[in-house]
Amino acid sequence: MNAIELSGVDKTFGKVEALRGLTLDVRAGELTALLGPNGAGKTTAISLMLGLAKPTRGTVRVLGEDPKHDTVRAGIGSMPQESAIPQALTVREAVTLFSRLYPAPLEVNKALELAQLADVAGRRAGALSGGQARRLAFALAVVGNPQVLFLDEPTTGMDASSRQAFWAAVDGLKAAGRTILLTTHYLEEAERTADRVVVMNAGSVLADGTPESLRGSVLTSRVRFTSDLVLAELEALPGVEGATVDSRGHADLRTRQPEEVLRALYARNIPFNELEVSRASLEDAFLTLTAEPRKAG
Amino acid sequence: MTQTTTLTLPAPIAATRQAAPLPALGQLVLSELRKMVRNPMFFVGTVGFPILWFALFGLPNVHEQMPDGTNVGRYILVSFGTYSLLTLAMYSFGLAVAAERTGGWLRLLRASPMPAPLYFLGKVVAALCFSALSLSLLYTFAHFAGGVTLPLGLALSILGKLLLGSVPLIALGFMIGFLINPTAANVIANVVSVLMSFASGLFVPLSQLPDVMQKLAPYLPTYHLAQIGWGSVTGNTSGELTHWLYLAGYAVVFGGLALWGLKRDEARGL
Repeated sequence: MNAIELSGVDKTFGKVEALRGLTLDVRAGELTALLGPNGAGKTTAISLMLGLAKPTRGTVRVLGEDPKHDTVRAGIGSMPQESAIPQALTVREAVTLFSRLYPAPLEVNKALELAQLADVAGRRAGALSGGQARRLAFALAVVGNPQVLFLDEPTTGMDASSRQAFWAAVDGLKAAGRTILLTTHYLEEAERTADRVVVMNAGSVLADGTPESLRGSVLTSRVRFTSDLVLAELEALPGVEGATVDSRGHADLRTRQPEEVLRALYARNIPFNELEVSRASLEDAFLTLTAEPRKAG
Repeated sequence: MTQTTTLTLPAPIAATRQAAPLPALGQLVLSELRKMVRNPMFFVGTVGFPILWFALFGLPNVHEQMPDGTNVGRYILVSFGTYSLLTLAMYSFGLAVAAERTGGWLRLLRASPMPAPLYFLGKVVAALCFSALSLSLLYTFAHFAGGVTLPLGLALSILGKLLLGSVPLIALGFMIGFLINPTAANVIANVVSVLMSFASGLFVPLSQLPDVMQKLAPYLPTYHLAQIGWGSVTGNTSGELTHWLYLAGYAVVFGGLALWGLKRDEARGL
């Protein structure tokens, strides 16, 4: 079952095409990471899913309905990038306000606990640290006990321990069967938490799959070592698809067959040290995908 | 502190129900009042200044009589009462709305299940509550410091009329908030409140203003609001209906432009 369905969605602002034929299904109960370079259309796509704007063409359905309807939004919680919560309100007051906007909210204390804000419940929003302000935005998103959660760059500005607590809470929500759509610039977070990754560029979907399958689609591994080989010799090694080397002999090779490269080095008795072999990370996959010119069709 | 408690959440409900509107409205009003009361500058601007102006310009003249026998103190009380409502509308709506719509708070509320009209209603109700408080404090000051006392019935009727008549000012505030960015809104709100107050004869009687201003005055909403208040004080309410029609017209025009601004934001995806 899909919690969110966008089909053939275009969105233009004046002459700017923010979304072009975006088709995207988000399955219920999964954590989907929406990735893309700045300007790829992620925030615009989320605006449409939140019912804040209408698509120029195409349809947007959340929980089977048009999110422009207030009733659908009772099932949606959102943590935007910027939410400038009124500085004069305390943490508890802001969370209480949001709880009243939803038909079947969590207890305010529960939401505060979930966002690790119980200790600062009486503090004014204007006096919170950057990380606490992000956690308050998270508390406002979850207090309505929504089925679908939108987290737009949630951990920006959080310190390491805030982040850890935040992901623990998100894991809990995922375990409770909530659908979560996440955007982030921290690809290692997406790699660790997401069931599924959707990469957007220039307003449409570029790649869609599990973190493993996306990494796999890039296929390449990196082999790094130090030796006396010059660039031409490195490029001539079997299976090498790309190579760089600096003046001190640090070589950096891209290959689909790291084993072949190593076998050749040993077979030729080439002395080398500082060997490092790594699989492509999601970040490598992301950079490769978004660097390629968009394919037609 | 590690989170070892397993999360037990109530199952989310089917997305067909909505929150009860009254408790939601109550919380919105409460939040607005808290924002107002906890901002010292807001308090000074909307309660302090009208009382200060009344003390400076009103108190020396409170015992004089106007040609028709009306006590000048009462007249001035209405003037600064109107001024207080204008200031409140400009700051609470012009400045606050401009900041809330560009800072992301309004966007967050619109993404919640709150029906959009509730946002406006909450602000209007809170502004009217605060206006009532502000006018009552002005009445009280005038009573104790200047011996200017309106009979209870008259005091309440003027309070009610001024509050009802401040709706177009609130609409003007919304309009400024939705059409202008926060920095410019600050300047515009200041300019509008000072110019309109002067040109409507709130600080200096109309008859002592330059010709241009006297001609301009009947086109200002504050002029009509003050006329309704002054008329009630002097007992001359014959032209009141016309003033109410003007005010209703302004409310429609300003409110319509504010809505247009809101739609424009939505179309831009803000």
